[in-house]
Amino acid sequence: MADKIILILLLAPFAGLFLGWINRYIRNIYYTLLSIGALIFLFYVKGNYNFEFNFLNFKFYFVFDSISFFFLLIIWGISLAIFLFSLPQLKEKSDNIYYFLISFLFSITSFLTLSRDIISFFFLWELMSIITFLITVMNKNSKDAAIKYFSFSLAGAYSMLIGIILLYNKIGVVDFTSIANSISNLSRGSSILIFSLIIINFFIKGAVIPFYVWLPDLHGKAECKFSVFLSSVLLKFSILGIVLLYFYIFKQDIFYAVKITAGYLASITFLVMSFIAVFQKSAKRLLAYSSIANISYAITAILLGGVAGFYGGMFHILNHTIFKGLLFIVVAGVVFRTGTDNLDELGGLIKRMPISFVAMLIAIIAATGVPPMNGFVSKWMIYSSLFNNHAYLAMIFLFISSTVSFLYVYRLIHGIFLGQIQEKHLKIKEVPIFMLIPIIVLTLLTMFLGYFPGYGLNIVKDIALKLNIGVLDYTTHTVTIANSRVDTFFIGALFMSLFIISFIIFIILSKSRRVSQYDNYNAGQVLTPEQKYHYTENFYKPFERTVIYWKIFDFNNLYAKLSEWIEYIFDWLRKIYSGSLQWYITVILLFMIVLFYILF
Amino acid sequence: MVAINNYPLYLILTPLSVAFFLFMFKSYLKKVIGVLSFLTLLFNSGIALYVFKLIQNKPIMVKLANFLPPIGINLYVTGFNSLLVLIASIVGVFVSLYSLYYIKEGDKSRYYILLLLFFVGINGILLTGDIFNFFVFFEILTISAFALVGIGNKKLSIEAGFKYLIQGSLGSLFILVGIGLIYSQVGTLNFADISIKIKEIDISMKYLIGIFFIVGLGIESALFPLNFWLPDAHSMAPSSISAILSGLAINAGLYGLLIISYIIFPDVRILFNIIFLLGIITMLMGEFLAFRQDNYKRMLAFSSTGQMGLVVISLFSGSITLFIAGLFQLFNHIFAKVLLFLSGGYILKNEKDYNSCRLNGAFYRYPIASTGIIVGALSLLGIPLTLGFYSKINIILGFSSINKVWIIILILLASLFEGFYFVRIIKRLFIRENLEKNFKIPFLINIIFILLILFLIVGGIYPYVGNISKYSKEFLDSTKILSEVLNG
Repeated sequence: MADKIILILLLAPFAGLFLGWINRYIRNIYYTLLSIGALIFLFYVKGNYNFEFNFLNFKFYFVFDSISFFFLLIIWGISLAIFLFSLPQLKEKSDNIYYFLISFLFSITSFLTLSRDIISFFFLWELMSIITFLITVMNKNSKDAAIKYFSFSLAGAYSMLIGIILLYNKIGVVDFTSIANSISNLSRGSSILIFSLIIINFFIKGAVIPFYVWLPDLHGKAECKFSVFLSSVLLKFSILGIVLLYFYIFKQDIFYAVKITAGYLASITFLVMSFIAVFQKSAKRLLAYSSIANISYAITAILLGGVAGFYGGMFHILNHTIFKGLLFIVVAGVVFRTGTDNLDELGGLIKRMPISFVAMLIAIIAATGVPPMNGFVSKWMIYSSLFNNHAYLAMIFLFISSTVSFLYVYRLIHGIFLGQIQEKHLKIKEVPIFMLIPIIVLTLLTMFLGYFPGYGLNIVKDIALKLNIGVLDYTTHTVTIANSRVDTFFIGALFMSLFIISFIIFIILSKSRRVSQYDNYNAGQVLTPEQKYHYTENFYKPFERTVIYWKIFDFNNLYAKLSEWIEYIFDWLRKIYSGSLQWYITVILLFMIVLFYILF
Repeated sequence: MVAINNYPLYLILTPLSVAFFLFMFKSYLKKVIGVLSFLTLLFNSGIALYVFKLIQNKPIMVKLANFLPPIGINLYVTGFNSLLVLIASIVGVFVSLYSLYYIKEGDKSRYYILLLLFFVGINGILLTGDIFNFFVFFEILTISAFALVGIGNKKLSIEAGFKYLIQGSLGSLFILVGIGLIYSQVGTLNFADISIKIKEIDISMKYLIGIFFIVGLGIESALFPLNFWLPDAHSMAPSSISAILSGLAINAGLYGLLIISYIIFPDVRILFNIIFLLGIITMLMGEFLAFRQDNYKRMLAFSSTGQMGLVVISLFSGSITLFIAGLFQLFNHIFAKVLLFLSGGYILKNEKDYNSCRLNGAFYRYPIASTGIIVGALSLLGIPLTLGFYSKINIILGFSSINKVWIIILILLASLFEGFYFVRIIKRLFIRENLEKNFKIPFLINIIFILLILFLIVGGIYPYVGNISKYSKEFLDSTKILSEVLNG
């Protein structure tokens, strides 16, 4: 049975390739139905299944358990959103191979969540990287970003490969469960080495400092729909890796300093990335930096936060998938309508795209961790777990980062929806219905998990029980961490009633007068229609001047320098092939003399 | 036990006699000369397949003029070399079919005659049972290769051919000295006989013979300080010739090195270690230098040396699993590199510029050829779902099982740079520039690309090991097998 499902999953994207030759709508509806089918199947089969099969003369160990369930839910949910979203876009010229590759990527990532042995994990991991590369390199704008991504990704994959080969060499088995059983036989040195080599790969995928430089380019320049995937799914695989490595294989038994170093690298990452995000002009690039920050919250919490940290981190991953997916989809809708994501060229779309505006408002409330949205609960859990585990510095960083995140999300919503509208955007309409469906569903999910986090935490609890991490005291709408208790439903209701009261007061008492956006003045000087009172360029200039020091964390220059050096060395090496025959013959004879010298 | 029949002999005789025939009647056959050589090579691959089928039961020996081996000349066919012959013949079919469309100007008859002689050389090297004939066939192979490199009649290609000629001749000279030394020591030229008698000679003599063969064959098999001819020859030759130079000629050199090492000095670890070390340096240098090339074919040429280095270290590591993995890597390299040279070469020849920037936007003009470039590049890189993954992961696991992790690190370092430059090529294919088609790729050529792509992908999903491990074991015990030649 399970084998057949695997086969169906693998072959399903190919069917789409053939359907695409008939009609592109049929193809995308097929992919949408496939995602729905996968989601239904996912809830239907809940439980534990092990299956092993031979592939490439290796034994592949696949397990369907709560870890797989968590990530499969993310994958197929986002897949559904992306394919629904793609339906109105097909009027434009669309690419059969492109959609096939995306769908194939969903299959591959699904397998990756099941994979529980080192060979298949490496196999699928590398396949995931190459397909992502192919998809992004086909896109017009993201070619160089794709190369950057693949270079980092390849380096990471090889670092992981050395790690797992060392592991295999020391232990001699390939499946994670058996490795975990004999992991205690490793010496401390080799366990540190292996752990570091493997976690470098996950840090590269999770864009932790100093490996983050590929991500903003890729997420910022990839095609909008695919950015949703990159941020909501691909980035989460760093967490999958860390969970499997740290909890599943090493069973949290790793040298303290390594853990602290890794955790604090992640916490420095979110501190720096929040600052960088503030100064971005492109909405997608801004969201990309915000994604890095959010992933790093989770990594920090998982590594440093103990039991509550694990719950909080994983729950934050789920929430981030939802609200960041929502933000990217809204931005994608804006790009679909206006053709740009440059915040300097947008503005004032609130009346043209009201539903998108409300969705983005709710998503950014979640992103900043303000009640009553889902981001609040997970962030609160991360705060308390870091506090209770004495990671005070990380907590302070988190506090600063959260505060700064207000700045960039405000910049985002202000740049797109508030202020004055551009002349050319006056005829913009709300996005089509198929794009609205994922927007509305994700908005409702953001709010629902904000009121009832217990339903999200249930999924996390299954993982925690499976990995013997421990239990957290929570109900559907309360979470208790070390004597501090938060009742999200109460807080949410409070916020809602305050909001409604103030809204009513606003309606009754306001004496506002509707004016045209050109009906304004500035210190006596009348502005012509060309000059707008809506400023976006250099939005945070004074702030930027204050915190100019973030630039030392811009590792792009470092990598550019490195590649320059490598090219210089290789160019020097190239001179051996001088083109002179005399030199060639001399070297051959010299080599022979050296051989004589060695042997006699 | 060996079976005695004459089928393998046709593998050498057919192309040889057709080549002579074409040479004599070339003025009458101008129109059909390409088709005739294609049919010859097709026929040849049919025989190769038949021989490969016969070999499943027991090795075949061909004795010429009814003299028994130590005195007479013989061909000795085992599973190992018949497999290589089969692959060479298939590549020959592809390349000759490709040439029908690719070679448009110049003296076609000369090209096809040399091409047939090239395959005489390859098949001879792979099948022969005595060392002097090995040398003769080696000369046939290299001399036809020199001429084929220079066939473009351009200044640069003639220069490249000349450089190849000088260095190749130097190599041949060393091989001849080595053969002379062997003959002076053991008084025989038959591999089987040598393998028995060589055990008694002095170790320092073995060193001496070993040095001559390592340098002589190292030049042909592109080991690092000896491979200076290669980038020039590969980049200046017509693409079809680059493909067989890279896919077959250097592998013939490697086969020579392999058979000499396992027959003459199977027990001298230091010579094996020297070859092993050369392999590592070759691998690193090849990939590092390919990283800095803009010329597509020159880049592939350096990549070939890098891949040969990887193959050499796995074949000469002395472990059977690594040997099999190395063979797979060899097959992968043959097919992937042939695919890369043929597909990229066809596009670039018609663009009249071999700088890789001419590949810009090729995916939108020539999707099949470009898919060929992508699959070939990914397979060389060892990406999952291609044959390259299977071979590379097995090489890595093999080195892990003999506890040589530092070699794995070097292999992965080389692969990393390989990844960088192949990714750059793939990126070029998707740049939307010069989108108007200047020429069409003929249907049959697309069929070649599709077959090669399918081979790499099917090999990556279902790598058929079959009897290859058996053949490899046989080969590694060649002394024992060869003694059968004398008895039976």
